[in-house]
Amino acid sequence: MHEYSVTESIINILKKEFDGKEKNKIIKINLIIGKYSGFSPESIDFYFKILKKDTIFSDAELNFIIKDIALECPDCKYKFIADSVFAVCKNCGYEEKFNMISGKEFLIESVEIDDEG
Amino acid sequence: MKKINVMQDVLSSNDLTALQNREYFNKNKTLVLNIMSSPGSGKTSVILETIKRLNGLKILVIEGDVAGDIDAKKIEKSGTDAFQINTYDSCHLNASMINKVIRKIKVKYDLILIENVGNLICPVEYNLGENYKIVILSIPEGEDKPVKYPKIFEKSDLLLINKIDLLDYSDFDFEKLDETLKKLNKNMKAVKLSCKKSTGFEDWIKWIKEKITDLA
Repeated sequence: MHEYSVTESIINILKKEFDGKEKNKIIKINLIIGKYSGFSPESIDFYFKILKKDTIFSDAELNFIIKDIALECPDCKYKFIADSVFAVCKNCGYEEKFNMISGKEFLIESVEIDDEG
Repeated sequence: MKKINVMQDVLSSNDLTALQNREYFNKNKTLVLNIMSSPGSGKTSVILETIKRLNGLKILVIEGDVAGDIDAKKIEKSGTDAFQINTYDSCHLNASMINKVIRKIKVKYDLILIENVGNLICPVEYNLGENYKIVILSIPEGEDKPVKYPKIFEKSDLLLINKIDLLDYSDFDFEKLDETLKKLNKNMKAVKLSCKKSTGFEDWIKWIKEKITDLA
């Protein structure tokens, strides 16, 4: 349910950037979202379809660039992709807390504009 | 078609307000604790037992609930200042809600206890400007909660294990809990307490007093 407020944040950030400044149609918003970001792309997409009405993004679709959970073993420095933070190092068997290299991201990467129509 | 780079963190606006809140708290040397847990784990009871043991400190309790002011009334009845925030359709407090409270504060507090909305998922994503995040886990919830909701246990600074008086009626497994916490947050201190029996509060109170001294 907290995706409602982050979807509002996405729209507010982009309104500040583009409202009144961009005359062409915004057709795509690219979001980078980590699998450990705590936010669900499906829910964000659901709320975006409701919240985009009557905004400069009414024709835009969201595109999610999903980042895997990448961990680094603090003992042997081995780097690997994991399903969750509860992992076992495939190199040395370590199974406590790992360093997270990626997976927590939640960024607006870019927007795409139709400047031909 | 033209692509324009934005590269902005979606939570940047909340983080910026949290930073402003933090500056205000630092300036006033106020210790701020963001207390989070599932509904019914005993956040309000822990707060009531805590303020009873901190005589002489100027304390404010900020209560976050979807609706109602039951908790704020309980706190006020104890003689402590309380402020109720109703989040309506939102499952967490955010920095801007706390900022609105700050604007209404007229006195200097030594300690602000923020009781977040009861929920193990959303509250941890939103920094409020607090010094520390505290998570409460109660015995009836079971030791598996950190497996199911890892992030809140990963990002918290202290774990309070409440309703320890119910241990005899539960299969709560402390060994399994320790194993999980090693993988999430192995340096997090855990304090076992019971609001019902009013026991186990010494270490928690000592921890708060140390943190207040650190700010001075």
